[in-house]
Amino acid sequence: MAKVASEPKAKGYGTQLSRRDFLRVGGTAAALGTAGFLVADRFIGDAKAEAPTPGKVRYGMVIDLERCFGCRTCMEACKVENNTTRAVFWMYVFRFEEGRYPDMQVRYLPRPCMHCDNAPCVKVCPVGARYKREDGLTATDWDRCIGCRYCQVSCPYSVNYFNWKDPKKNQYLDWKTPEAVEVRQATKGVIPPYKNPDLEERYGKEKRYIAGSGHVKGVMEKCTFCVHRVEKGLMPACVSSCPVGALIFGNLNDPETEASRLLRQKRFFRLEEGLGTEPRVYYVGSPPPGASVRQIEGIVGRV
Amino acid sequence: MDIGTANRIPYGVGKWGAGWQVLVLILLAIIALGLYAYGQQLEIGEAATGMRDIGTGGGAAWGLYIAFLVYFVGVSFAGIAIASMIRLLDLEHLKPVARMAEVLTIVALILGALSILVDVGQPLRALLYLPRYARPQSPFFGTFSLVVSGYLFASLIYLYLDGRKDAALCAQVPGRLQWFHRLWAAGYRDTPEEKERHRHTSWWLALAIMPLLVLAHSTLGFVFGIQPGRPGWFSALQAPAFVVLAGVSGIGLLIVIAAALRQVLGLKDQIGMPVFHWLGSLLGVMTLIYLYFMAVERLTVDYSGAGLEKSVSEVMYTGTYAWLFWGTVGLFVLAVLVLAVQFARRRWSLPLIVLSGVLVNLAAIGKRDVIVVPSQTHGTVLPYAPGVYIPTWVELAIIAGLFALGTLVYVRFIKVFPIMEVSYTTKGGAE
Amino acid sequence: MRRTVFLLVLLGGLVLAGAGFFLAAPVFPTWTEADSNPRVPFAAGMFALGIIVIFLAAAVYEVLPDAGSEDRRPS
Repeated sequence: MAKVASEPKAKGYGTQLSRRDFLRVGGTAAALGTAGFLVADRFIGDAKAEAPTPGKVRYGMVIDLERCFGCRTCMEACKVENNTTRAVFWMYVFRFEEGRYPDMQVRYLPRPCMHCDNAPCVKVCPVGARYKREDGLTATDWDRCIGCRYCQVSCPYSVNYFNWKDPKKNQYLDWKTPEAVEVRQATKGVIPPYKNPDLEERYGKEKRYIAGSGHVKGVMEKCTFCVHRVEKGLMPACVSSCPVGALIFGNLNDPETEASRLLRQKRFFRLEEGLGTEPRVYYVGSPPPGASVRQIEGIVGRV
Repeated sequence: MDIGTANRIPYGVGKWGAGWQVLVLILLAIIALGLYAYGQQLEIGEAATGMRDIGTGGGAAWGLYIAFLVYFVGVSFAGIAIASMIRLLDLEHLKPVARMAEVLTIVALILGALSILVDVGQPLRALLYLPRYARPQSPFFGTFSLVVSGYLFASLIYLYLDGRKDAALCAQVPGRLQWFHRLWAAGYRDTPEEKERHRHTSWWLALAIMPLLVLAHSTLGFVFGIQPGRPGWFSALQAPAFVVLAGVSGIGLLIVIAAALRQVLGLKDQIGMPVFHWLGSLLGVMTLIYLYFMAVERLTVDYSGAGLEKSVSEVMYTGTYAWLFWGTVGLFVLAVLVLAVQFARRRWSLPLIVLSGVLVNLAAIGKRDVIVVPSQTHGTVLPYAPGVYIPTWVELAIIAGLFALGTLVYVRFIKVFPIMEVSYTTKGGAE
Repeated sequence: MRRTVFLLVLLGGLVLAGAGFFLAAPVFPTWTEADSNPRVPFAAGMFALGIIVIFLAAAVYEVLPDAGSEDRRPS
């Protein structure tokens, strides 16, 4: 059998490519690559919020740290308005000290939910119970929440609270004592100290149960920017109750609101901007807290 | 095709001995305790556990349940991966443990699914709302749809198809289980054509399961890895490290189960030492890879001294969790040493291999806890006071109940279906 | 016949899974309330079911008898 004489193959990088082969292979690769890029581009979108368009309402909060003196009235007001249960602090005020004695400074930092535009909690909720409204509020549907607490572990600001107990058993007063029963009878069923009836309603265009605390055992909750008040045209409870007007709430798309004005006139910062969460709570009147602040009179609420 | 001269199904199928019954009673008792604990948790709420709110609540919102969820799903990886590799790479010498591995996967996935249900605050809602509302953007979507539904079902199908031949053999033996074996066999005839068809199908099935496996485990890693707000979790290594630790814990547990069954069912001839050498070597290599991952992760985090990561690292190296962290590292290193010594001296001892399997599983449980807890109690981005997490008896009882349930399902399965391919009984018989 | 059924089941599973994935809540939302809801209820369940059906196709392929095959003797 005659051996078929063949050109010895060049060692190294294989046989030489003819020009036609090169064009064929290269052209196919380029076409596929472009097609792939176009397809991928269609699917890889930008997960940030749309730029605010004028005319659309986008709420935000501005906190004037120059005015805040740490009285924590906002925390109380939030509790009363939203009926938050024990150890739940939708609004929390840090009391910090900074520096070394005698060069010390004491500072206060109110921390509501940041209602982030690129909220990690919204992204990770498996059932869409935590969602972002068009007016900027990040809401929690307590009727849909399954209590997996993923929003809680993903929040960099730790603003989420879980109903570890039956909320009726976790209020500040024992509502079964004779005194409580008397008060309930006298006020015709409004359970002491004050059960806000607005919290049971549905809110928003989407008509979901997003207001108030302590409805159901085993679901998550957090600051709602008092959606039940905002939809009626009122300010959130913390904002209304601040004795020095340190909290300002308003439509940041409307240049005439006090909040927008403050942001134009003063330097502001937001917490943990480097994380990319795009919070909607702005702080004016003071530089951001440094990394070496220490909390004093910190609250650890045990359920 | 006959089933050997004794005309009975081997490997203890259909024989409910006294020892087995005692074991089952003990397992049932533990399960009952777990159910009682779960009842308490349903009644009191999750306040019955040691978990609390992160931040002002001074606790960790995810605790043992999530750590064991990840552990169980991790263990399930090795089972079906081994079974698939045996099929895809023609690893004949590992065939005796193929079915044990498949059953391990299925049981572990069931336990993983139950861990999720036990952890959520509203389990009934979870069962209804996850299929209805689950969002692909959330990593939990992958856990629910790929892991619990897709991969569990794929493993069940694999086990079913792989078992038809043995079911047909067993269906020849009259007895209480004959109807079950007939059903499973579904008209299997041992013709060359059917054998070829089965080989063809399982090969493709094994090939299809592998990417599903990697995807499913990666989404579990993503649950932790994509969160910038949790120092200690935010890392590109989470997904691959999960896959590797899954392999480690799964192979370790498979070694323990294979050795136990070998002892109890008298399978010394069928499951020879070469099986354990191979599994032991694979375990050693994978554990080394995992130690490498751990070292890389720790170095990356600690080199920069970034403040938030540093506080999490500190509490793991020298703080409250030091015992857990160093204990875990120690167990991994010890397991590698035990395996390496045998490998170097070329003298393998079954008890030592089993020991290393136990060690890596304890270490895997510890590592899952190290991942889950410190980043919550000591990794808050805002300067809250550090938290505390101490599991309560409720959590421990429920987890013990889950282990007991898994063991019960496993030992029950052994009694209704041969845990190894039946053809191994007939000496020199057709394969 | 077996091959046809197998292909149909496989295709059905793929379609179901694909539909379920794309009809579920958007993967890259633009942050309106609708983004938190699936476009079709139980879309996620469809996705999981689709994956299950895809693997069921393997069982179909192996277990279904060929058309015109000999009698099935009880085994």
